[in-house]
Amino acid sequence: MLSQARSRTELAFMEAGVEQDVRADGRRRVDYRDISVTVDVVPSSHGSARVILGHDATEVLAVVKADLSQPSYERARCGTLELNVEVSPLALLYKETGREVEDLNAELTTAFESFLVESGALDMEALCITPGKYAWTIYLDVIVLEGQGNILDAVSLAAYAALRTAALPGVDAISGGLDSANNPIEDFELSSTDILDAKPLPVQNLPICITLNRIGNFVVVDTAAEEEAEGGVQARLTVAVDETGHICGLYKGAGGGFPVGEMHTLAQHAVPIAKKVLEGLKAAIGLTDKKEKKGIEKGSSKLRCEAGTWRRDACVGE
Amino acid sequence: MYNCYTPRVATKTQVSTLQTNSEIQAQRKKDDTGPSPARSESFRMDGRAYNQLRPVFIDLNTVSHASGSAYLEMEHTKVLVAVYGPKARQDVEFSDEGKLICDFRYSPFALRARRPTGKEKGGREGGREGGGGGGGGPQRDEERAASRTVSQALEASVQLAKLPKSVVEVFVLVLQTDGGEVGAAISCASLALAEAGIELFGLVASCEVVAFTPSEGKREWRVRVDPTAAEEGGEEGGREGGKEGGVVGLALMPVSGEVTQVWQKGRLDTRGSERALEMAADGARMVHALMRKRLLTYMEQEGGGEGGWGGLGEMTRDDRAMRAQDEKHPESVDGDVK
Repeated sequence: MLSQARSRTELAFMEAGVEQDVRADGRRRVDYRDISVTVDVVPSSHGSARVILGHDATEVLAVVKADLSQPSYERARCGTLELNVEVSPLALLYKETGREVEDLNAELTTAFESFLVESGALDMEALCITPGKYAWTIYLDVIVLEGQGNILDAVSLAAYAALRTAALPGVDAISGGLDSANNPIEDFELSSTDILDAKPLPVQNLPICITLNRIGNFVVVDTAAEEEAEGGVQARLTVAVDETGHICGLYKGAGGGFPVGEMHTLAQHAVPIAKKVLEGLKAAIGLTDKKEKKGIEKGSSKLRCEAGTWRRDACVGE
Repeated sequence: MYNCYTPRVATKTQVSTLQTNSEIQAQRKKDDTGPSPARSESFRMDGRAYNQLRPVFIDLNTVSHASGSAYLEMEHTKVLVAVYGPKARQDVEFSDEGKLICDFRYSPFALRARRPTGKEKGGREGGREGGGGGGGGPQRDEERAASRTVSQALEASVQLAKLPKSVVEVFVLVLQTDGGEVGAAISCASLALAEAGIELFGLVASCEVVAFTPSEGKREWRVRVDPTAAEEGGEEGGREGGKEGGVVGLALMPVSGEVTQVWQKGRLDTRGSERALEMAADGARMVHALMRKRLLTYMEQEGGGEGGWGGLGEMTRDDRAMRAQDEKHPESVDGDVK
């Protein structure tokens, strides 16, 4: 486990390295660690994904489960999304106090929720089966199993993969006719019991997060745990970018500041980075190919971003 | 301390960004892809111009027992902040720098629908004990997140290096909310820290804007400063039924020109994002000017000259210089602090 305190010499060393575009692990400022994504890791759920950054450094598991519920009166035509992000005690973060970990969970949940919900990525009305009676509730639970740096980005990648590969059984609403008590029948039935006929979730333009960290006068992405230690990063800006290049959310962490005149260029800096990461992610989970079917092992792929090109080493199974 | 239910009437702000940003506006007119601000952007439900803040009322030393306190009203958004500290830290043996902790709570009556306090049902396990604030029950997720937002916004403004082994606690209570309460909390907390005499680099002011496109396809972005909850929600009149849009909030410390906090909810493209960030920064400067003015007036009334405000250090000298400048030009109180 890493100690949390960094001496001034170590911090100065790190800052000098960032200035010269060489970080502690040899990466450049714009380089991500190896990203490995595996889908369908929890077969009992409707969709799941596991993302690992680096060599077992940060590991996040996202699981989608869906359930039927009655929509509320004000939003009778909409389904709901319940999001929960939490850091598992397994992660043994250097934050020891229970209160700090709870604060971190709350921060991650609200930040990510605002990106997902406010960007309108999930079409709530499409989740409704019978207005006022039946609608899907999508539970998205994200668990951080290892937190050695850049947790929020990993959370967004795992959630993206899980939501894009999740599939719900097709459901038809039945109405019309009266039952024995002379009440109008409002029911639903499964369109098909074949798993391969499951429909994907109605998501489009789902965002992922790119976190820009200010170290000295430079900005780095994908900080490792030693870079995130106390005093390393002065300020942190998380930009949520969707597939069309729109910015779906901004979230700032850490106590420092960014120059006001540079705010816009900084946010825009994240857009091409997000594009590259998304391309690799989509290729890895098989979304650029034909429609994939649930139940087939998609395998995992190792993505690596170097000097502007993506290299994909695909390996099936683990 | 007067009764919060009958606050004094706030005066309308007369500050306009058109004067301070005349170059930007002139350039906008030349750039034909940008919308002209003089056009129909001015339609708002409460009759304000697109770049006009709601009437702001500030009162200081509201909680007389606290080290420092402030009360800020932006029409119907009312926030009360009390600062306790600097006091000795109990959790660590020694720390080089001070620590800033924030406790942000909504009072149960703050929103339109009364929120249950933690006492009715089982509540969450492991809730926080201690700390002041409204409900007194466990904090909700959004309150915890807002606590982080406020403390991160203020950290850069406090001279923590001068407070070893100390902690400064900021308690925020939202009495009523009509949009923009987190921004109001940041500004109010900054005033409370100043009133407490804690040494600061500068004041932090915050402002929100809502940006939207009135119709699909047209890339014309409309930005409105300091939206009410209805304008933020964007259902009927707020965003004129536009599909794309979002709320951007920004906390700025004009003394160093640094943005200490920023948040965005909703989708914006490049152009919208640029305009929104710019207008939010302008709005924050406007709020900063009001805060500074009020603080100086308060100093004159209560502080009684130099003796009462020794704790503010450099800020007093700077403000004396700024005040002399303001007396020469009383109309143009703008936020540009050099």
